[in-house]
Amino acid sequence: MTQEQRLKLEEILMRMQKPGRYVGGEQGAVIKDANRVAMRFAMCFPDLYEVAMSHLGIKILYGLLNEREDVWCERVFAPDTDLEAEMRANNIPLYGLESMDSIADFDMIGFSLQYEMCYTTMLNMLDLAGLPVRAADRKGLTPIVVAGGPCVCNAEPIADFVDICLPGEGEEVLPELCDLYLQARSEGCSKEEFLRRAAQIKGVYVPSLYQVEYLEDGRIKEVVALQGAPMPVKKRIVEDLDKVYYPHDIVVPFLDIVHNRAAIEVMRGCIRGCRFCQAGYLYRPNREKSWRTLAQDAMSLCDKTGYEDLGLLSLSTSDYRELEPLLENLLPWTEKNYVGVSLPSLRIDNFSPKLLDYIKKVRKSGLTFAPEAGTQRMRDIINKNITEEEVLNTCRTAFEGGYTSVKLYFMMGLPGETMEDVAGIVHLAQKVVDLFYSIPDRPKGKGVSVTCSVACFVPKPFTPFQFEPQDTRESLQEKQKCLLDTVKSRKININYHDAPVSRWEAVLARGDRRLCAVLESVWKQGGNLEGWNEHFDAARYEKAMEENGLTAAFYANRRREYDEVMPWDHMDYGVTKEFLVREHRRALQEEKTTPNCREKCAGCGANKLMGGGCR
Amino acid sequence: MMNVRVFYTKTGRARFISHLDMMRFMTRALKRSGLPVWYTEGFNRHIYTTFALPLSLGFESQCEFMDFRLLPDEFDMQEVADRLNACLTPDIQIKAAAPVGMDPKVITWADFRITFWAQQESDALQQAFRNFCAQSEIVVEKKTKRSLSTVDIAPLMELLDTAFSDENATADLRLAAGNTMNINPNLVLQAFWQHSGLEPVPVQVMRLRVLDKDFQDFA
Repeated sequence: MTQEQRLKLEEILMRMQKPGRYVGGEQGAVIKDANRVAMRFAMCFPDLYEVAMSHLGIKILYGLLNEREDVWCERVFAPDTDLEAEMRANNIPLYGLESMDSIADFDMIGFSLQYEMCYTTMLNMLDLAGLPVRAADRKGLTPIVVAGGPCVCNAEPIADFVDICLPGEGEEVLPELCDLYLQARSEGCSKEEFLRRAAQIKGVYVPSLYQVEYLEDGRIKEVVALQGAPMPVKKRIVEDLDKVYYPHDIVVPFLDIVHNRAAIEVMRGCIRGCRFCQAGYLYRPNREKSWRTLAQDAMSLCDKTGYEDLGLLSLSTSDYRELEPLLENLLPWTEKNYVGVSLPSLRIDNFSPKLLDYIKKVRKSGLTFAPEAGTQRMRDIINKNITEEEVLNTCRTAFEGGYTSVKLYFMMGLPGETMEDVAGIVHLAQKVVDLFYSIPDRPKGKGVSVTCSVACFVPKPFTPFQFEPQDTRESLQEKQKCLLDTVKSRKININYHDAPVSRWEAVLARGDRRLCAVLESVWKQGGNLEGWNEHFDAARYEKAMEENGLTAAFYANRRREYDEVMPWDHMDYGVTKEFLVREHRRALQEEKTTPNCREKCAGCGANKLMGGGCR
Repeated sequence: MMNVRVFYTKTGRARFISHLDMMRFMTRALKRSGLPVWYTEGFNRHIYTTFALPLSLGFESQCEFMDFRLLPDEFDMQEVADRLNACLTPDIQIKAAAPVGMDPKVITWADFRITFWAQQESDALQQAFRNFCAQSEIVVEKKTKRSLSTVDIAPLMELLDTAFSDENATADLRLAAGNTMNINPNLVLQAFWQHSGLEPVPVQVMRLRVLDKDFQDFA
């Protein structure tokens, strides 16, 4: 950025909401001499600062890359609409928060893609940087646009925009990619040559090296790998979490953000196999960190950052086998150092009074559980593996422990769902209310409050429900009405998510490359920050689909046969398609559950990713 | 136990950090420093801090203050400054630490440097600003929490110095500050642009000193 631009920017920032989002300078931000690094990396998160800075993954990779003397990694987030308008009007390019330099000249631009509705924000950020959004229009070796995160398990809808995807975990593959880039640059390679070579690294997917052929009805005929690119593309994992890099210092924001705390990652993957949950399959196999490593991580991170809150993160923290030794050893330290500990993601069936004691010791926050469905039949179909009795017992423990409000998460529009199952959500909530008043030593003086948060189910790739149609808009609206009509108590609050966003999320999640043109059109019509309700407009998508001769129903509401070639079938996440088919049959034909990984191996295939099988 | 006051700068990027965010930042810095600070005794125990004369968002400052308590009865003040500085960012740096002296109630004046980025118009702008300040009466509308009133700020301000270069003009201005009467430089600037009829140019404001009624530096 020139001095003139910088002065202009500062003047503009004075008029913006929360200017602190846009200036960097926080504790822990890494400043290097731009002239003394070989490579500059823009770590982009296509959302606002408050959301982006809450994400653990980019903090790990930021620390990891900046450990290298030859790389300077900076953070780049989406400006809110007020600043974006000013940046465009005053020709201020998208810049890195550390150097305030335009990222157009950086060597590599990485995007963390956590949910489908951020795709248009990615396009907008590329455009704000002054770069063509289409990979084919960015000719040289600089910059290379890389994407990672769960969305790249099916990167087809963004295949025309990114040069490289990194399926799986980034800690090992990203530095390897940087090394290859530096080598390619010193040899004067073309972009094409670099991409050909990059495709040979395990855990690298180069969309342009795969050609997709379609059938007349729009389904995929086949995907062909070109120029020696691997088929299938294997995701990368870190085998031993006790040996992998973990940051001991992170950027501590000035602003209050969504998750403003020090976080430690207790494990990756999940043993449960809930059939709707993409994370539960994508991050397999389950790997735990030892409690000793975690205690070290926690203490050094809190010391370095001064944070007063510590989060123990994983997909299901109560499944972590060393939780008790970890808490026993950590809590005396956190108490002495005035650090509060939070345990998100607890399961209902192993929520012991002892665990509750631990939680109460640190901070009295609200309790949240996820039964996910209202009836036992439905919970069996989705393999949630909890009973009504367990839900009620947990609530009893909580009420007896002094809690008066619980939050329950549910989904509707699940495969095989009937109106009875939907009403079952409210019936379950009512039982929780009744339970409260049946307890003799319930907390006195206060009523109970049960909040049910009900999301619309979105079928996702690499889950047993990837074959399933999404419920139609009409049906979902009817079910929402049924929910509200069934509520008889004022103690029950129902929140439900908007159906239109879920529908387009479903289209993008299981979309193919023909959606690239759709996304480009949506973005050109103004699509940006669409994860925020106030910025989402379904009409843009409808128009773009029509322009391209496509229908949402083809992607969202169509039952897919087991032998159909899915747009993501050339990606190998460990979990086999045969396993997903088997699980789908068990779910809907047999209404049978599958035991968790520790009780009995279900043969998903992810153990292949570990040298010695699952532990 | 001892009450400690640190004097610090807030410059560069830190000017965009709000007072509330600064308080949270300084609390964490105290925690990182490992200094034996005193925590409140209540249900939600936290480090006790107080800040005199909050600075508006967007201003830089050479004279910010934070008070907190240390558990020991005596402690080396240089060590306080050094250990805190090791935990702060380059834009926020401790200049000195000392046992708490004056009561913030004595604050009466604050000096500011206003930089006008007027490029080749800088000389003319300096003149215009001098003329503006030379008026015997400067009536402005001042918003308080409850009402809107008109105030003559001429007796509440004094132009100390001006200068200019090819890039900018600067004006050092003393303004009433503190609990009873506080004049924000933005109020003066607003009146100036209105009075002069000039097209506003980018402006930076830095607080230079904070003084008591006898023009002694707040310490």
